[in-house]
Amino acid sequence: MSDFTPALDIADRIRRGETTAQAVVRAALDAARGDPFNAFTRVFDSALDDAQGVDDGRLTGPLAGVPFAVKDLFDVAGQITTAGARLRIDAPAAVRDAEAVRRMKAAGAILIGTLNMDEFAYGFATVNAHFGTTKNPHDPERLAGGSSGGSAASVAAGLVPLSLGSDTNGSVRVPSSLCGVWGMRPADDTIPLDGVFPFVELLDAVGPFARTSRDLKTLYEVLSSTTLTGAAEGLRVARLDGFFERNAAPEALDAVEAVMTHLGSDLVAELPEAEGGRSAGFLMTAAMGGALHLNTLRARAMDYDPAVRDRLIAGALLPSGILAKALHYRDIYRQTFARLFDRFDILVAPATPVSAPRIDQATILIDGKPASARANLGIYAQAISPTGAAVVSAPLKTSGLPIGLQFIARPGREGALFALMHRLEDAGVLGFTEPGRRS
Amino acid sequence: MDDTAYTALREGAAAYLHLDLPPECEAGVAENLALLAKHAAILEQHLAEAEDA
Repeated sequence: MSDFTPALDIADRIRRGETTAQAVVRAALDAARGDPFNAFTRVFDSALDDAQGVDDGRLTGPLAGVPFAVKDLFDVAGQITTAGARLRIDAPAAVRDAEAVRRMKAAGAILIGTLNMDEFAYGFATVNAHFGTTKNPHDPERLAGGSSGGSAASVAAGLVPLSLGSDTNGSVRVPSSLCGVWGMRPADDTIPLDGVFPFVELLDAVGPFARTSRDLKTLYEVLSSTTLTGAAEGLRVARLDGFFERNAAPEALDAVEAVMTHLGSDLVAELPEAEGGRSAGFLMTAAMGGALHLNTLRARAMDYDPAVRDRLIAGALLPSGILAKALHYRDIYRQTFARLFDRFDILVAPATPVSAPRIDQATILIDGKPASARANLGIYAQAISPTGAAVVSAPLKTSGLPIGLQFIARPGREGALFALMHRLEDAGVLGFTEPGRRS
Repeated sequence: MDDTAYTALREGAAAYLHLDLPPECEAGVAENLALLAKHAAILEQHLAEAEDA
């Protein structure tokens, strides 16, 4: 059964003795076993033992007794990390927890299972040839987004209040947008990647999901071992134009407009280099992902998800000179992007160009032409990944299908970023809406 | 990407990567190579603009 109670409220209720961690975790395990959206890939009954530790007072922390689940690319001691791949189902079990999982457990959170994803995190759909398609809780005929689709859908469906995913080119921001939950791509090097199955070393980031901005902030603080401070007053908030508007559907443009109107800001940030930045990230991903998988492709190409296999092989064939150019442009782009923060504090752009497409919808319009929906859901997120900035993907409060916005800050300004998120959530401009409560 | 270029890439793969492309992959790999070529062209354009600036 779904439960939409925020994580911090759950922790408070347990702390005050109004419920027990075991009761909370038992309910979450039951909900996960009955998951109708194919978000979960495994459920851990041992979570009840961990919950007993909270009730006994042995496990404490800001998230004591709060259930969570992880994308199936985080190492969990004693479990096989499949990374969504059939060819890893006989891999050796992980010896220890990923560092992000360890930090969650140290904060008292209870791991109840693993979550579906695009194979090896290479996709924006969570359409997985081996583990099935994760459905959007707001409309099961629609995509949940990817590659962390199980992470977003499990939170949106009220199966868990918190989850972990990863974001290389938008794999947190795309599914959080389509499922209407809060997500974050942290600034580079703020959350350790130890024990996370790699994809593109220079772009990979651990990313949390939650249903409120305050839950997300606490989750980020736990994962990054920081305490944030900052105020929303006086922030110069600008919308990114040009590339970030060109292919946006009306719902994405309206979302940006709603925020800017509420804030009374008409600031516009121009970034004509964004298209080049996106292409640099796209090429880096293909080349570095292909190189990472080359040995396995030589031996077991036919065991891959066909769509992922073909992308990886193409990437492996990319001349190294192109990768060198992509890396060079990435450096130029990062410097150009960083200069925007001399004039602005927070940048706003759509997280996805459209709300969730139907699962059988093959194309969306890109530059006026039909293009693969699954490949292009991440165009705006991909353009931000190479910058190394901190990004919160926030759901617009809407009666329609969910759509998310990227709020982007200079690394180190996460406190101000979250202060703005709290303000916009409190004002009813941003926020999660339970599935089934839309008009 | 035309057939000649793709054939050259296949041969390059065999020679340098020791990666024999299964026939089932050909259409998908060719489609993805075309997409990568498009992004490489965009990258070249932006690099040229950056060098001119």
